[in-house]
Amino acid sequence: MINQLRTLYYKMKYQFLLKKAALGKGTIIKCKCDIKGPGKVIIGENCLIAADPWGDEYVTLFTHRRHARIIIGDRVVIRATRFGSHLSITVQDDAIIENASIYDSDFHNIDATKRDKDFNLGDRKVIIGQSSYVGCECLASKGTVLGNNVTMLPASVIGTKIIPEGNTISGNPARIHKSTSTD
Amino acid sequence: MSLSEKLKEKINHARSDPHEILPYILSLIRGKLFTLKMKAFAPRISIGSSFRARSAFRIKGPGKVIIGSNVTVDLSFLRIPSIITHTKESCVIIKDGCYLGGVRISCVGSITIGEEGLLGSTTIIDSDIIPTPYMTLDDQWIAQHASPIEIGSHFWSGTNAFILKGTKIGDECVLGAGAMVSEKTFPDRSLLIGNPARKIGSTR
Repeated sequence: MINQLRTLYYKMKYQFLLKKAALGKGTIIKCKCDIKGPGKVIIGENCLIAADPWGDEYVTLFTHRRHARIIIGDRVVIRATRFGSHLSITVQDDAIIENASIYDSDFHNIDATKRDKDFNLGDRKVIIGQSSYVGCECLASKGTVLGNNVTMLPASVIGTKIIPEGNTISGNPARIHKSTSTD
Repeated sequence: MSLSEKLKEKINHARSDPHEILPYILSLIRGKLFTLKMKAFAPRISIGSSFRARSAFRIKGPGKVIIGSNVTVDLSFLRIPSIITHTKESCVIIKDGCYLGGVRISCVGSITIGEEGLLGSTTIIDSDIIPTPYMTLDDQWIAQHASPIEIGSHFWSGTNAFILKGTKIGDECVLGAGAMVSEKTFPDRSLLIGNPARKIGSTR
């Protein structure tokens, strides 16, 4: 009952008043949710947006450019995840994302002398495939492409890599752990 | 630089992104209120001029905290920045022009952060264990478990990075997101990535 009221409040606020987000049918929001920035957020049907098991209860969906998009498919489970987008982040159907961070940019220049002048950061798109799993405290940086059925073990960090279908990855920087695909 | 040039620069900056003017003024007011509160209740904490607080900010414990001028404090993905000191001798020094977004600092010995640092939700701990109130923090415990951290100027660290005890980092370094450094020294302009962190290149 409370969750349905909360979902209704977020739908009224972000979809009809501010026109930043589009929530699909049957999506339930169970925690505090924050959508900021000039871009757009599209969430599919029957998703679950919930808090972390140990009390970290914010989902943040930030877009920093006008063309930036965060697209989330159907039946996705999101738990206290932090998104930050300059270009586009896509999460496909049936994925599960724990208390992780997903960014598609560096946000600042590496060279200290150019940090407030040069903003060519080389942004790249991020795609997370169907029914893949991103563990707790993970970080997927710019250029990450996870295929279908990829498992990302907790506290691993990945950037500018393409992981083929059905693999398990772990570590910082992340490496392929073992192949679980049958053929 | 004369005063009129400074004013011109600020007006140009405000023209380039007008939606930042109101938060800037509000953060200046909030920072001023915070400095006045600290002056009244905690004289061991000194804060420099034009301190900007864009969010709540926590300073706890009996130790010294010295913050330079033009420092900005902000949330980073809704984490509140906080500094905790554990003994009377412990000392946190943050120099001019730093930006602290969601930084969590726990200090037993001493921690120094250089000029123009850019820290995003980083955890800095200078001891093996974060002390509980039931521990006795004598000199032997400090010598065994803690050692000071020194960070140079123009430092930038990504989200979820960890800086643990005995780290010494030079000027203009970059620490990648999710990296972890402990008990090592790194030269100027090094690009650090991984857990444990290693140097993979230079920033310039």
